[in-house]
Amino acid sequence: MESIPSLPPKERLILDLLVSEAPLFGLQLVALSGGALKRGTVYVTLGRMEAKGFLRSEQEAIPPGAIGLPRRMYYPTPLGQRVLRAWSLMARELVPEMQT
Amino acid sequence: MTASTPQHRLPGHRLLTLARLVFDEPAISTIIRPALADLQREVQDAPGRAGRLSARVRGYVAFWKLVVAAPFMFPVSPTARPLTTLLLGASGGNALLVFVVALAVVSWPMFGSFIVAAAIGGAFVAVVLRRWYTRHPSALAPDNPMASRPKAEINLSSIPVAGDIGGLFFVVGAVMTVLLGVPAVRWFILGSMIGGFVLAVGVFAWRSSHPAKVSAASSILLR
Repeated sequence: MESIPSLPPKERLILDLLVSEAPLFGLQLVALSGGALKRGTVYVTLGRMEAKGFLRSEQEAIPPGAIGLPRRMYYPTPLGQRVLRAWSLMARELVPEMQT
Repeated sequence: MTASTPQHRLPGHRLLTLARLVFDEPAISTIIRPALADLQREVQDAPGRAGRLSARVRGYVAFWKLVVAAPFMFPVSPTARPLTTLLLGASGGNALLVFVVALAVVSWPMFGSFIVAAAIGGAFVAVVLRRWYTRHPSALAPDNPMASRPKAEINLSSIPVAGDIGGLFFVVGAVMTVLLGVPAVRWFILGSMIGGFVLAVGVFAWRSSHPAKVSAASSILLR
């Protein structure tokens, strides 16, 4: 039997933010997290989540005349959304036990 | 910063060049470039000179945190840069060595030459223990028949502390560590050693007259 995909709290938060406000780039996620995500580690977490198939990313289109590196925008994948729903459901089901 | 600004004057341009020496392309595209792109845009959007300076500082601090953390959080790919492979090594062993060296350098003001003595003593003990276990393989940690070389690990449960040279090193090392670290407890340690010796003699005498019925390999307590 395949193991159930794990979803640590930070990855859950990122998926939560992306489901409600995608697309977002790294610094936006840090700003919206209210201090829960740090800009020194958020990109590693995003890379790991992309490798797990929970989100996808694409480079933003650079407007004519703009300079610099294009930002990477992140979107939740259908798998990521299903995993988030499953974990949210499990958390709701276990609320009485988790509060004791 | 406008479209006429040369690329090499953008914040993070040199950091990207530096990162290319350390990280492989997958890590550059998934971690480093997004971080630097956000840094550049934040600096461009910041109001005023002070705001841009503040954004730069925040971005640079975050970048270096990323550089330190990424090797430990991101696996080395087969196409990794030589420097990455050198830094991490097999199973992160080189990264651990770098970490130990950094720890020694940072703690030098507190411990001074004790660090040198500890390093020499530790290396000597490691060599002796390695030689011992090469000649006397542990019965509790069977070798992986698929592995081409022994797996490097510290597995306390596989160290028979009860009655060999490894156990002696372990006990002496543990006692010396506590004694040097907390000299105020030296009398407590002395009392513990005497009590432990008496208890060991008692257990040895009991075992001599009452052999264990359970296989020694199945329980740490009975070894």
